[in-house]
Amino acid sequence: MHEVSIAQNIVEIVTETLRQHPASVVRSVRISAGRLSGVDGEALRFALDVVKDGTVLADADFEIECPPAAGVCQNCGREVEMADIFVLCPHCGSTAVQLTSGDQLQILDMEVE
Amino acid sequence: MDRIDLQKKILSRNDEIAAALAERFRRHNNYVMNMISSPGSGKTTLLEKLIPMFQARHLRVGVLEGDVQTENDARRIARLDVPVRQIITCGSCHLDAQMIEEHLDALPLPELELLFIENVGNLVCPSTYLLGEDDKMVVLSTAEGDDKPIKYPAVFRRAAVMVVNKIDLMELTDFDLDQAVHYARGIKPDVAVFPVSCRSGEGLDALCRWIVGRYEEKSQRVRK
Repeated sequence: MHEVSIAQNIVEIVTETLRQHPASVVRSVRISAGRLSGVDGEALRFALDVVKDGTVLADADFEIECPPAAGVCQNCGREVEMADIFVLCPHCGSTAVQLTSGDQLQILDMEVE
Repeated sequence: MDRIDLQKKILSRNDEIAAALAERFRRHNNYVMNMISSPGSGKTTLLEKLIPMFQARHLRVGVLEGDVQTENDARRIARLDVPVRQIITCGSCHLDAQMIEEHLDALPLPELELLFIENVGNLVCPSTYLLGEDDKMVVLSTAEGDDKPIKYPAVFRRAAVMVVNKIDLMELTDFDLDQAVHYARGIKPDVAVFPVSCRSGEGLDALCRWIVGRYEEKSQRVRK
């Protein structure tokens, strides 16, 4: 349950960015929380709704993407979709599948006016 | 309406502080271990057993203790005559880099070879926050499920070493050590694994030697 702390970091980054921009209101923010990032999208949305009050994000909508993870098999070199972090390579059966994406926790962009 | 492209890591501020801490540790030649586990797996007891072994090798140890409440763990460690500082998070489920920075001045870094940061007992949140450490240690015990690695993959994927504690209890539980190691290696193929018992002392010497080896490797890199 560290989503509140994550939400506070988002508010800080957005506030700081807006300070260097002529706009004053944030309309929407796009966030990417990979399925293996350890952050739950719904819990993050709930936390954002709580911490946004009284900030430049008070009226903002949040679009939270939770993209699935992908990896590369260290044995056969092929790309593997990862529904879970513990997968066998579907091509060669190896357990040595290296995660390449899906653990990111990023603010992608935001709309302001 | 304007679109501002950010593509920014949400924890970038934490990562910046952690990078500054890592530089500070490098300057003082401190090897730093971030210990993560669920509550009750035996992190503090493990430290109580390991610290005298390091002291016997003339390695000086410092400890930062993270807990939601109480100074109990710091009191236990202080009995071993090592510098220790309790960080009470007041409800927060993890330590972050800023908390480490705020409490680090309480420890004599130039006089330490090893620094252990005992994180708040939690297998989820602590894995996301870098603290400037060299390695993460994940501790699980045989009183827990052997499927912990696949239930909490984020922390196991980032761990350099997995300690399986309380192996003296294994015959009383359904814990399957081979299964736990298989799961952990599936997530992190090169993770070092040490089955130990803090009660009997089994396995502790091998773990101690591994940690000393990591310290020596870092020390050589720093001197170059």
